[in-house]
Amino acid sequence: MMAGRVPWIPGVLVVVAVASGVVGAQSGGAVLDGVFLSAQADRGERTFDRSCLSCHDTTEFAGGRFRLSWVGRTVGDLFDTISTLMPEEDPGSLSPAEYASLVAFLLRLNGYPSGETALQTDLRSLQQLPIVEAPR
Amino acid sequence: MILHSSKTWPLGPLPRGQWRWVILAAVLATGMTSMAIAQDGVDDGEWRYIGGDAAHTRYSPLDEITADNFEDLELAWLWRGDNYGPNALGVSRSTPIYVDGVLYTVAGERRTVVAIDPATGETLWTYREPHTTRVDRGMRNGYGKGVAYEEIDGRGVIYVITPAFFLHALDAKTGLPLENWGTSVSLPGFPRTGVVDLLPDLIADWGPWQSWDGVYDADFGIPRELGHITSSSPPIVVDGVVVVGNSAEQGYNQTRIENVPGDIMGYDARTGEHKWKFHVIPRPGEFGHDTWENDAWEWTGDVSSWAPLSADPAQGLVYVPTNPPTIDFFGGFRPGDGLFGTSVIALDVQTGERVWHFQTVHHDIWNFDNPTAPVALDVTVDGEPRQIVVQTTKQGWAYTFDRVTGEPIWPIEERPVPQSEVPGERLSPTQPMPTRPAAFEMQGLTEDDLIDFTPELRSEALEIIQNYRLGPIFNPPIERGHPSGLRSFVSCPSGASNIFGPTSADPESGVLYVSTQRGCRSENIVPGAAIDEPDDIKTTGRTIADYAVLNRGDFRGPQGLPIFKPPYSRIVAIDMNTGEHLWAVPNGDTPERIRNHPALQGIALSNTGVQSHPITMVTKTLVVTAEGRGGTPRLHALDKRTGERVGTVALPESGQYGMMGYLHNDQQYIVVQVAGADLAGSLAALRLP
Repeated sequence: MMAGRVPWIPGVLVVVAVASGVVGAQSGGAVLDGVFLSAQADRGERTFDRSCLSCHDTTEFAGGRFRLSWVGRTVGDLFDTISTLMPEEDPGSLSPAEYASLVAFLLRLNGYPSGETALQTDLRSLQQLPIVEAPR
Repeated sequence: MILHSSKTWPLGPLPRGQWRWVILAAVLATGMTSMAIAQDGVDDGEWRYIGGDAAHTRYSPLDEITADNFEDLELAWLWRGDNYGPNALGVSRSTPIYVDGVLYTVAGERRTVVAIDPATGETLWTYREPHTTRVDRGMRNGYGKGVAYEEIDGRGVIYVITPAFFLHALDAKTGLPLENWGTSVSLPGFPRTGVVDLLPDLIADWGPWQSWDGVYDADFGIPRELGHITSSSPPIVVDGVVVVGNSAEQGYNQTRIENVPGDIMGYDARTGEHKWKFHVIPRPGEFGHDTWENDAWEWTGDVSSWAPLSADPAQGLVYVPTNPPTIDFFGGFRPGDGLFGTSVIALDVQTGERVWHFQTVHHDIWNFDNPTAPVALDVTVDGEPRQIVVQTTKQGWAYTFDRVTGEPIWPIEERPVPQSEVPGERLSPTQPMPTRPAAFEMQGLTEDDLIDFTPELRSEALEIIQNYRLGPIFNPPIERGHPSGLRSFVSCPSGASNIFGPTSADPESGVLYVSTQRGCRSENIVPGAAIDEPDDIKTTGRTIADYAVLNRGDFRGPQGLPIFKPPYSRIVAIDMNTGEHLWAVPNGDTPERIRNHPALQGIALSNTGVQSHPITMVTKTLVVTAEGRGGTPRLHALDKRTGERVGTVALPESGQYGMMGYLHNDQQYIVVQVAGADLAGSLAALRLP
């Protein structure tokens, strides 16, 4: 479904930063407090099955691959990447709510908790949500 | 499941301005060779193989539907696949077969076998394999491509390979497992007959299994430390032999270097007895063994044949397209060309012995697996009748061989290619490049290929590419953190001919109709240890690769537009008598998001086509095509000689993967595989009123 957008940073630095927890430690913990609804992630999973599974397995977006691609960036970056690049055959063709639900699904897939409010679709707000490392 | 009656109802109106196209007289060329290969699959309006015939032409000789009446087509029925599995997948890769008055296909993640009334869409019977842990380990469960058929003593038998890698034989009339067939499977709920567990036959003579200190667990399958194997295509039955291919998990999702080889196996269609096995990774003493260095043949695997197989029953040959070895985008641990990775192999169907092969990519790390069934045709080249087989590829070439000897019909030259800078990687210095037919897709990416709708967009594109290593076809990956400071490599095409749109052909004229999409890839690779997930049930192998795929990269064009010039996807007609391209037309029409893009206002755009592989079939009278997953839900008729659109009707959802046709109760039907955001993988049947 998505291809991770990775800002150019020497890879070795990213590896070191993630491995040492530096990236997570220097950011706030909002994503750890629950930034999406459980039902929203459920919808995102259904959207994944309908719109993403034809090319992608969740393996691509879980565990180390997610951490190395996204920790240290923001939920807005993730939202922007998916909604700009995907689905590959018709980028941007899903609704903002559907893209938000996909982001919620990917966050849940990687151990981030759901909360009491839905993830919004406003990019500027989402850019204020740093992705810190989820507890393992 | 929702069932529908036999009532027909009109299709919905098309968007304004797209309803009518000039209907051209379909005066077809008659000067082309007409020396048709035996159409055993499509005689009498049947469609006995998923590719129509054993040659995989996807051709139907029916002629009731023509350019003149195409727009009168009505939706006869819609068969919905929502409920065949725990999740409703927007995937529809299974092309039905039609034989003796019934449609057969598979549905959903469990690859449930279904028999369907061809007039009404009513489900007649289903067969569902009991759950095993092997299913939980699969990444390709929803990619089933259908079933195979054979008659045993006048009795129709349906053969299917499941995601858990069992082979089932079912009575075509009842869906019940065949009596006195196969081997006993001692798993809860499994039938006592009509099934073969394929794993024991696959691994019995394989060193890593023979050295494994443990008992076989039929529920779990191969131990994770050794590998995992599944299936996505049905077998093909030729002359009483069920030929079984397989699928490995996607190499770009793997981090470890060990896996099980995807050996090809033959079974007696009458009894289910295992007849032979062809080692896709040659053992000591076998041809091609010396193409493996570092003893990688002993423990690495894949080289699977996930795309459908085709055959020439008259020659007793089956054609096998293969995948690269484990893993994608880094092969430093398996130096050498690695036969029979990314090859076309012709096997003797009775013995499983290799008759010929051709490796289309040496030491493949680009995910350039051969993605569609090789297509067999009879043509005339330079005045000589030739029996050919054509493999269309992700690289954008149609590799063409004498299908009996494997001799290239036109020269295929070994030409130098860029070499890798990734530590430990050693690529082949050359790759085989056909001199004819010409490539049907853009290969490599240069500044000349960049978007140029406006000077501003071009300027942005030029700025973007400064961050990437561009190059010709076979441009190799660079690791993340490369000393150059570049973000990644760019390799084009990413998948010109691909899974999503099998090639079709007209066996009467010898013309090939290729579905192709323009694209580039830019995977980021990182040390495998950084992303390896030891506790994931889908992780296989023991040794983590030095490099593995982190993600598919972020190479994108300016302002959400493709970075390259259009057309973004096409149907390309190639006369295989001459190797000449006859015509090429964009797939669909310029998408709304491009037509209405703010940066393109006031620009006169030619048809860019959609960003999606078209799906095709050929009839006596027409090329029939849908726009694919990213296109609009429409079915088009094209003039076979010119590619001109001569008719369009609406579909319930966008077409996916393929379609098929049959004659039932003296009516011609076209069944289109459809799926989308609002409809799980389904079948839409069209016929004239």
